[in-house]
Amino acid sequence: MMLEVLKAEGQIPTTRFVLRPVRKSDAGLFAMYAGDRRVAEATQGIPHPLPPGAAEAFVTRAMATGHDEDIWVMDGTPSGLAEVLGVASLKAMDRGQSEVAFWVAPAFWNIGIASEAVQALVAANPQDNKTMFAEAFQDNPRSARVLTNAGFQYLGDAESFSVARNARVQTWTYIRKL
Amino acid sequence: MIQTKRLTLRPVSTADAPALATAMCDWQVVRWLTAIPWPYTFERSLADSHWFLEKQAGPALAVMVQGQFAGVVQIDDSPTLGFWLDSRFHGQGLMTEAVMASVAAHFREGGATLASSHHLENTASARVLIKLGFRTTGHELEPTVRGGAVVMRRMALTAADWQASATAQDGWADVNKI
Repeated sequence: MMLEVLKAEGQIPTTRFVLRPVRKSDAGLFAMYAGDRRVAEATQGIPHPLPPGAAEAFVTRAMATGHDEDIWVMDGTPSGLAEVLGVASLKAMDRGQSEVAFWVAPAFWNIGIASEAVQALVAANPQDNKTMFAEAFQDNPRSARVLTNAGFQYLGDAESFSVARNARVQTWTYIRKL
Repeated sequence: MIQTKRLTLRPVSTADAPALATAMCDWQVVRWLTAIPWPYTFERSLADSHWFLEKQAGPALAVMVQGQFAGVVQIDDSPTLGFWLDSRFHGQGLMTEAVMASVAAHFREGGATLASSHHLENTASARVLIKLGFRTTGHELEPTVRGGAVVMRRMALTAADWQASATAQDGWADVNKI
């Protein structure tokens, strides 16, 4: 029942903001925030500098139906914060498993925004997952703390490529049983 | 047939059964394959190898090192990349050379985004995939025929990411399809 409500509304409220679906008008702020080197270098896939049209392409992908990835904007409007604080996503895998990813705009770092978002996703469990996974760069321990704050447990070390850094980066992998 | 600096990749044949059966009795190879039972007798491995080579081999290519059967690399119709190398040939970059040649041929022929995966702890396979430009798409607990479940990291390589990494690679110009 709760799941149906969430799917219908497409929104997950948290204390200070709401996780809502991506809108076309988000592209400008996405370009500004994801175009920040500090954000891009904390991700595997965001190139730096951000090529023209990349933010619009991301919006188009996020709004497409029938995909296996749900993407939410952390929208601070309910408490007078910015319309885009960051982005969180859940990519559905087989057998009730999913991959969590997120980024927060640097202007809103260090005030627990990402933790609030991931904890809300875990609590709402909108894809009805049994297990969630996530990867964090080892040189970004704050990202790892977001995951442990939401009850994720360390699973093992690995390595990934960061497009923005054009380099391999050591990662920690985390698991959350639901 | 694909010829690289040190390797020949050619379709597998039933004549490879004894060599394949031997490799499938090597725990250093089998530990990273979810579909091979353990403990495994050579007799059973040989029977399974015959069955595989006759019925299931599909597009599998044998990796030949100076005339010796050293492993398999395969890109199926989905398209998904799989590969393994006999432990006697580990540590020389041969797997990277074989996989890079297969992937180059795949994208040269206009192939779609390629999926692959590796056991989270299998750093050697992870390194091969990352060198080619693969990015994490998620993780899954996957059951094995040996019982229990292992954590697999799912990865994907787009044509654009391949182009970016291929131009950054040394030596891939030596790869030629015969």
